[in-house]
Amino acid sequence: MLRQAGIEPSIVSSSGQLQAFDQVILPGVGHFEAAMRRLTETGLADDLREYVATGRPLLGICLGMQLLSVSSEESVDGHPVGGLGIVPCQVVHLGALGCTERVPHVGWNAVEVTDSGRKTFKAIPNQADFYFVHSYAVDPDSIRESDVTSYTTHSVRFVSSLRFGEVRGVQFHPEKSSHFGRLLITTFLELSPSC
Amino acid sequence: MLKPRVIPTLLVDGPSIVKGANFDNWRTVGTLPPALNVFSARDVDELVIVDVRASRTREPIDSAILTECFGRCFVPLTIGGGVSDLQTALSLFEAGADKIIVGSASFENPNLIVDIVSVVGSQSVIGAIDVAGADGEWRCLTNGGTVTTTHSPIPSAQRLVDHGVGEVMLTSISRDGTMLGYDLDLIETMRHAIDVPLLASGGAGSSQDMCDVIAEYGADAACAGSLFQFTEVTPADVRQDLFDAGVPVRMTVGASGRRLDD
Repeated sequence: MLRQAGIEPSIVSSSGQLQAFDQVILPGVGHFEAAMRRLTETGLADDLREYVATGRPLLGICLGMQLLSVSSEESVDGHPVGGLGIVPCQVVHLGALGCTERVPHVGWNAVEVTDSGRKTFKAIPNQADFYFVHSYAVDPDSIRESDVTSYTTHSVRFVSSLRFGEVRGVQFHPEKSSHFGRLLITTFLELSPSC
Repeated sequence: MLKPRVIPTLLVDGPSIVKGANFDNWRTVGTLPPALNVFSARDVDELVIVDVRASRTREPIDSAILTECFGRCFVPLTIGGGVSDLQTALSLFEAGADKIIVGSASFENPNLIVDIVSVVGSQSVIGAIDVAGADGEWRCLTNGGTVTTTHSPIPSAQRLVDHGVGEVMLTSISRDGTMLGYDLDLIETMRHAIDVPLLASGGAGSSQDMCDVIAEYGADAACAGSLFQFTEVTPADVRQDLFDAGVPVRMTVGASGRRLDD
C-alpha cells in the first residue's frame, strides 16, 4: 500500500537506525508481552522513545498502537506488562471493559471520529468501516479525552484511534481496510516534515 | 457495530485453483494471481485460501507463491492447509498472512494451537473443523477429508476454543462443492456451543443461502467457493442483499464511486 502511494519503505529490525527516518510506522500482529520483549532486547524500544522525542511522526497500527501505552494486560499469566510509555493510556482485554459480544473483535466495524480526529480522518466519511482483529484495546477511561481521535463500539466503547503530539495510533488495520485504509495512510504520509 | 463478513474461499494446489465436490474429484480450474486480482478489484471483506494438497499430504504450503500474491490484496488474507508445526505457521505470517487456519494437526497435537497463539495472539488463528454426515450424525474428518476420526464437531470445536483459537471455520464436507446450501443444522448447533466468531463454509449455492446463514443462523461470516467462481453472483451482490434485508454491512465505495447505502 505504501509503494502504491509512491513511498519505498525500509524495514528496521535492529537498533541505531531509526533516527535516519522522517516517518515511522510501528505495525503489529501478535502478542503484547512477546513484542515488548523483542523490542527491548533489540534496543528498538529505546530507539522508538528517542525518535518520538524529536517530534517526528509515528503511526502505531493495532498491536503497534497498544505498544505505545504505559501497560497492557496481554501477558501469558495475565499480569500487566509495561509498554513503551509513549502515550498515557492503558490496554485491557475487551471483556474487562464489559464487552458482551464475541471476542476477539474480528471484522469490519465503524469508527466514530471525534473533533480531535478530523485531520487524521480527512476525506473519510464518519462511521466508515475499518478492519479490526484484536482482543485487547485502550481503555477510554485511561486516556485524556482530547487524545482520542475515534471511538468504536463492540457492545462497549473503546478507543479505536488516538493522537498524542505527532504520535498516532490506530487499533484497526488501515493496510487491510481497502479504500478508506489507503486514504488514512496517504494522510499520514502527508505529514512528513519535508512536505 | 461489527459487520458480518462475506468471504470468497479459494482452494488451491500450489499455484493452481482447484474445484472439487465433497473434498474429492479435484480438477484445476485456474491460477491464483488472476483470481486475486479479481477479488481485490471486487473489494471483498476478506479472502480465505486453503491449499488442499497441503491438507492431504501435510507438506507445507509454498510460501513463495503466496508472497507474490499478497502484494495485490489490501483486505485480510487467511491461509490454511496442512499447518502442523509452529515453524510453518510462523513462516506463513512472515510471507504476509494475516490469519492462518489450523485444522487436522490440532487433533494430533493439542499443544500446537497453544504454542502458535502465544506468539501471534488468538486473533491470528482460526481453528478449522471439517465435518461429514448430516442430520445430527456428524464426524470430523482430517487430512483434507481423507481420514475419518471418531471425533464429533461440537466437542472438537470447544477444545479448539479452549486452546485459544480466535475463530472457528466450520465446513460441511458433505455439502462442499455441491452448491446445495449450507448444513444449517450443523451451523445452528455449533452456534449455540461456542462463543468465538463462527465462519460457515461448504455448500453456499446462492446469495440467499449466505444471507440466511448470517441473518437467521448467527454465523459471523459466510464463506463461498464455487458460488463466486462459477456463477455470476459476486460478494457485492450478497452484501447488497444483506443490506436490503436490514443486516448492517460494511460501508464500501463501489466501482461507480457510490456508497452501498446511497
